[in-house]
Amino acid sequence: MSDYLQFVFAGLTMGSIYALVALGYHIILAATRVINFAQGDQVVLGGLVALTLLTTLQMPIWAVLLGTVLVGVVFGFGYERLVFRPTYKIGEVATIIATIGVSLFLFHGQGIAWKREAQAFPPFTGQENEVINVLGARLVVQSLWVFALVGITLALFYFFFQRTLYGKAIKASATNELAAQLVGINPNHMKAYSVALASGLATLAGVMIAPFTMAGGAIAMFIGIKGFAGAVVGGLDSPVGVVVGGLVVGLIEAFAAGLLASGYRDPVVFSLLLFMLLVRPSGLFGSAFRGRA
Amino acid sequence: MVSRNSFLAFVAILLVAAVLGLILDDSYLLRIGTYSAIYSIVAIGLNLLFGNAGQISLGHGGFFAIGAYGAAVLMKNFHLPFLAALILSAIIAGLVGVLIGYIALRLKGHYLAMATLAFAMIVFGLLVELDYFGSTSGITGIPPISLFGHDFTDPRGIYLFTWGVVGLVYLVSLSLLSSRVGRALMAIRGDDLAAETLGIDVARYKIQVFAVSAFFTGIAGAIYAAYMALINPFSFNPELSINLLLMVVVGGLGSIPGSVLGVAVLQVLPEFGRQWENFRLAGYGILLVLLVIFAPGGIAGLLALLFRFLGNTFRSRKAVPLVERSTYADR
Amino acid sequence: MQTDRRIALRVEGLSKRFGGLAAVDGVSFTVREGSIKTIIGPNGAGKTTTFNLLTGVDTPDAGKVLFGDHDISRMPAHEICRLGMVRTYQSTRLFQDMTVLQNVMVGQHCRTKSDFILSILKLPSTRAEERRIVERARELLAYMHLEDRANELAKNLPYGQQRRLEIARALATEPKMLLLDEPAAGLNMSETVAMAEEIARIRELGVTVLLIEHRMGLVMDISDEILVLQFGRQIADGTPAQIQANPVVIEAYLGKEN
Repeated sequence: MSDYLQFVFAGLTMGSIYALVALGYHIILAATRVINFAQGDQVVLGGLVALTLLTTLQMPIWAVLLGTVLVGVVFGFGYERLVFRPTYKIGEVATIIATIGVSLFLFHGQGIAWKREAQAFPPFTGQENEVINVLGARLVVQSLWVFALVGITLALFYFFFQRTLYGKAIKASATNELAAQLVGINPNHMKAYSVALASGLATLAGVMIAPFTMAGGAIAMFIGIKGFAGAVVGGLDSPVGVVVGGLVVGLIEAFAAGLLASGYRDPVVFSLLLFMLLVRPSGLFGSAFRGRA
Repeated sequence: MVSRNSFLAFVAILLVAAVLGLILDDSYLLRIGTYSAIYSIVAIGLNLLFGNAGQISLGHGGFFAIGAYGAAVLMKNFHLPFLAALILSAIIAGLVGVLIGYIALRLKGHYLAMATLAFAMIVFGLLVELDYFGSTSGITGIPPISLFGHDFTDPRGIYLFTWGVVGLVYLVSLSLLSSRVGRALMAIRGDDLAAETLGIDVARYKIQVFAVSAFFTGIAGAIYAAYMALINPFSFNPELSINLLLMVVVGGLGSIPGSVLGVAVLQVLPEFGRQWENFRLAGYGILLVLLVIFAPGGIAGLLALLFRFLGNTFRSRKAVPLVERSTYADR
Repeated sequence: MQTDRRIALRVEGLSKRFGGLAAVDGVSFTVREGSIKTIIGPNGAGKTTTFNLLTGVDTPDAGKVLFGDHDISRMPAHEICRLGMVRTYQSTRLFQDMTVLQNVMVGQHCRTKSDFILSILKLPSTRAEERRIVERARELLAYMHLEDRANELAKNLPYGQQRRLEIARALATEPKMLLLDEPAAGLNMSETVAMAEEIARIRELGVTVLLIEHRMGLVMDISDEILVLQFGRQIADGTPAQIQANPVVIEAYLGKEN
């Protein structure tokens, strides 16, 4: 029993990260109609930037978090302006290849600006692997940080998109660009904000899991595609769906690793992705599936 | 039929490859040449699928691995001769291609890209995990390439053999593209809804082109396994699939000679400064972005522009229509 | 007399809902062989959806479509084309990166047969077929006055010529019936007149034509029969004279025009 609870904790931790990544996919997809292939790499970027802020610049953890998100947002603006915008008119395939290019750039740029190998990242508070005991299962303290921060972030996003004018403007532009223009909204700006927001989400996610997965290394593609799996499972066009989907994928991954061998965690998640794409591409909560014609 | 220019490009490339193979003595250079040949076979297959039929695949590393591991197992565990192992493992890759093609029926663009990437990662994960395939250590002691009892162990012989296979695959692709089926594939890329309502069974063609593309890639994988004599999963990591896409895009989507040139360039470039590897690889990323925006035709496109410019400069202004017998816009 | 001619297309109770909205609701009509019938109606009336249902792009929720002797209600689009029904689209769906000639050659796909193996081997029979395809494509281009653009990429053609190319490509399928979705959209006056002549010529080839159009002048000029749709339902079906005199139609639609 405590074993299963353990899986749940591990699953929800990674699942929260996948939820953020999935939300990032949703936001960019809604705004630009494209899947951002570099999402996973942006997560890793977050972890590395945070590492620099923490160790080289010796900033306190709250400043590291803010700084990392800021870097992510600024990167997002540049990303949209230099990569997305020139390719809108050319075609979807062009944007896909361009985001793959950015993914390559980030992946190998990591080796230039930092190191190729993963580096240790301390948990936000306390000792390495400090745990508390919950009902017989071990809960890593860092997980609590993840839950708290992800919860706050999601609440902020909910508030932003549902209650503020900017958020509604972004949604409006994503739904109907022409109509949005008619009421004075600049779609290109909205797209820029969307990519910037999603990039901030990605880098934030990166800081939060760095204590678990180390900063840097070669996990970018894996995080990216698992986050995408979460988004598909939940329903790419549903903001609530993608978050739930991310959590579900995290849990499935944890249980697969725990019940089978840990080497099966990836094939299981990826097979789930293929299964969903085949059988129910609109996901659990999504509606229209636009991956066809 | 195959246009005159396309055939000339084919002959030129194969001739250069053959001459290099006969002149070069350095086994290191011959090795680069052999790698170029092996990846050219994959690139031609991927180009057929993506460049011509418009089906994006980030999963060809998976087909390559199936070809390699398939041939390795068939030769070591089942003692099949090389040629039989090659054909059989390529067929297996092709059958998996049918499965992926079926998945591709419902997906387009980035969904298809993600799905194929997931496929490559599944193959990779399973190869790392399963002991039957040697897990992380892989398979060693794979018998060498051999035809009709003759083992190819000298670098030159292997080089020439592999480029021979490139020539075959190249020719088959050229023939296919300049035909009714080739046009149907290009129509599917252009607008698959219109293609369907013009009487093209889009589903069947998508599956078939995936199968053919996977089959070619499987051939390359089998050759790779026999050439390397030992293989492990890390040669078939997800990065490989991305690099294959890179080669095809750099070469020029839709251009067979472009695919070969793209591979050659990307195989040769690393030789100019190993210490700059990260810069070079990061540069590829930037290159992709710049290519799609400014030079979508890739290397092939730029060369075509160059030839056209030179042709106009040297030929008299009385423009002879290029297309008397050929029926296709020159690529 | 018109009633002597055979029925090329019979549609019975065709219906399709999207979510809660009935895009097409119990539409029934016939089209006589060799005639030109036009579907008119305000935007959102269900005209293009009807085309999609007829050609297999979408599946009807209810109803039957009988094309000649065949029930094509739930047939896949490419098979419907093989039976002889082809369509063009409201916004041109040409194969942009292929040449004008190639576009028309693709049209002949369903009337030719070399498959993967034959295409690779290029046996004499395949090569002969290929020559015929090229010849026939050139004929069709000449018929639509596009022969001097044969080797240009489709995307480089001016709009009016692109529309004609789409028709040439459709004719390449050797259709018994041609569905044209707003063929005059975006054309200027003289191009529209030319288009009307093209459509009349197509009828002379023995092809039945069903079109969707908004240009009333064109519609009244060339149609043998007109079907009026509104909110997914048919509100009138008859000759141009009958439609022009129909008070329901006038109120719903024509009254707002000229």
